[in-house]
Amino acid sequence: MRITEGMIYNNFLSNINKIDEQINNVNNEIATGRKILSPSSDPISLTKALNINSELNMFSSYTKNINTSVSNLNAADSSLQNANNELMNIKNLAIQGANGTNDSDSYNALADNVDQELELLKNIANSSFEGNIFLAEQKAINLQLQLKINRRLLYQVPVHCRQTLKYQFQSSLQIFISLQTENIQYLLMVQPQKSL
Amino acid sequence: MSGLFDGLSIGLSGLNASQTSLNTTENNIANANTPGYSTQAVNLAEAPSALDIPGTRGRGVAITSITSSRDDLLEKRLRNSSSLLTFYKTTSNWLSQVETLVNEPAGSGLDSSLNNFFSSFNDLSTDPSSETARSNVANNAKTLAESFKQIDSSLSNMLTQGDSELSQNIDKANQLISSIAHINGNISNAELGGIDRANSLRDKRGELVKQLSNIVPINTYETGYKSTGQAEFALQIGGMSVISGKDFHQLKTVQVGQHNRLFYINSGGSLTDITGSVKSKSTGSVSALLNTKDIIEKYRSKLDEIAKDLMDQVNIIHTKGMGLTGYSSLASTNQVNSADTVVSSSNLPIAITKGSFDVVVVDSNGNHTTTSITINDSSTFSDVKDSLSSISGISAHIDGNNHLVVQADTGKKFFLTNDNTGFLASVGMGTFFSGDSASNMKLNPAIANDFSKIAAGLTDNAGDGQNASAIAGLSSSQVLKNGTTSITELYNSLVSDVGIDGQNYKSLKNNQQSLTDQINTERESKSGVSLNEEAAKLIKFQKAFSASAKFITVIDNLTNTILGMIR
Repeated sequence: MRITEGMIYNNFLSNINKIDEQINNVNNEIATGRKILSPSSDPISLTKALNINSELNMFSSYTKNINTSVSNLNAADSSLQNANNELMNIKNLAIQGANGTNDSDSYNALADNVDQELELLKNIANSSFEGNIFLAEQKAINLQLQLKINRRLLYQVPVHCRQTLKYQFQSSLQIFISLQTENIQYLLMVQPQKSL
Repeated sequence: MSGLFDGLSIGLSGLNASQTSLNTTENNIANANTPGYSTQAVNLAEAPSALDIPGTRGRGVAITSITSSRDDLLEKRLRNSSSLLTFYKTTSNWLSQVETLVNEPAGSGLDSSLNNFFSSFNDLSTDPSSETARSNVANNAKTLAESFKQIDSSLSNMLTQGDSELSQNIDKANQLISSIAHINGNISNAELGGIDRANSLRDKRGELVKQLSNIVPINTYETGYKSTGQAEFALQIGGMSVISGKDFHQLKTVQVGQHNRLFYINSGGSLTDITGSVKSKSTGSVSALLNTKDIIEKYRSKLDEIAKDLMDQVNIIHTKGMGLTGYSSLASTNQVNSADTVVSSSNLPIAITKGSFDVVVVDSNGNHTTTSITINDSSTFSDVKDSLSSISGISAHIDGNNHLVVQADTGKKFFLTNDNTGFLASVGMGTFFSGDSASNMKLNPAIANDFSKIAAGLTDNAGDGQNASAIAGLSSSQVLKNGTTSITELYNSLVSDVGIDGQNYKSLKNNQQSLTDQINTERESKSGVSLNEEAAKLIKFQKAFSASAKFITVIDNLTNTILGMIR
């Protein structure tokens, strides 16, 4: 074959161009830390990568949601634990009150104690997580439990919420906590084991 | 019997031949790097010999012709290959621009905007009462709409650029056409005798034709014998005769509709549209530009489809929920055809099916009254309007521009919710987005002005995030195309389309490049200038020249001898 300078020059140039292009590609890969530089470098893998990306996003959403729920539950749990403690205290006071040896001053002192416990119970019932009050489910930013004078704790929510929540402390030594919605009534009754 | 002076003329012919060969060789060397140049060689033959006793006697050398090593067939192959290469190159360049626009997997493309948008809805669902989460949703939605708009407008800019590049290419083609026709005239003059070949002119024409073929798909042939007996060079573009000898026609781009089309100017000045046939040939940059335009339009319509599907799906879910605060007045963002149109067969973007939606009226005391509005196959817009008006606390009318408007009485607010018909999403009442394509996508102004209108819940309770959760779930749920694909999947398929097209044309370009290189090598091998060869020739002809000169000196001596004898 007849070889001319033009051929040698062209061959040299196109080969060196090819090499340069490869070096440039590898350099870009190193610099960006990515194998897929543009959609055309590997469309199939890119689609997979994008799908994996959105799945990763979904998973991180899940993780976030789970963490939020766990802290929510923890907060609710500790509130309930506190409420339980207060109720136990009240129960003890009730047992003390059942003792016939008390004079009227003692009864008044007991009643004051119960009032204080109720105040605490009210605060617990009004405790919130991220601005939401547990007992009010989705609604209760502005709904606060009121302590009623006749030692009856009433949680009155606006009519349209169709839900009422009552804490009752009655002289018969029974403590009712009832959550009343339209159809269902949850009732928690704490009663001294020994009948008086 | 030969005379003494015969020798002089033989010597002279030798000098001439060597001189011409030397000049030709030098011309080859000088043009070694001229594009399109083919080596020329001097063809020598023995001069007609004289009949003599005792036999024929040589009378020196004659130059029969100077021929070019140009191979027209090879040139044509090279031209075809190179015009195809230009086609792939141009297309590939444009497509890589599109890739930059899509900007995946760099992480700043639409993909991340989409993911941010959906995860902000997820955040809202876990903390629906938070003002921050709400404004985050709104801002991410704005960014998303901007991303869509930006990609769309960049694509449409590319189309405009393509148009102006098309005109520039055609201007260049027109110059080439007139130059080629001019050279045709020159060639026909130069070759008038029918013997000489205008080598350099033909080389030049070949180069120009190659340049032209890199722009537009051409078809060349030699045809039509004129009175001179010469073949005439003719060239066609898109089936129209553009060059015939020294006569030529020009091309023109004219804007038709939104984009430029390619026209052939007839002798009378009338225009013939050759866009289709040029485009279908798939060679040269003009054809590539026309084809790329189609590809970009395809991407744009796919982008529009994604934007529309996203907006529709989000809107449909959004109109099932309730924001924190009700509306005191709400106008539809879309226009209805007319008040009497049956809703299920309207012009609106989302198909409306029969079913119902709820109107919740809230009075100043916070009391909620829910009324259901039923839509059946024969309901018209005015029927819906009447049903709305009949609800106490609100009134409805259809305004002059055919927008449906609902207003609450003083002190009252209303919600439109629980829609399973698509009616609210379709007319644009209480939707999240407004618009129907990538270019006009935006956050519904009602929401942009008041984030509390984002329907995060199925109720207006501050802690209700069920609806936001449903919207967040859209990202991966297969709600599009009869439940076969999701929004992110649809977008991913657009990216992979861009990638596959890009990869395709890149590899076609590379293949064609090696093919062209190979033909070019072949051409170089056949017609290129080899400096070694020319150097060898230089020595050869120099020696021959010296020898001829020596011979003339000998004759001179001989003459002197003869003349000396006389003295």
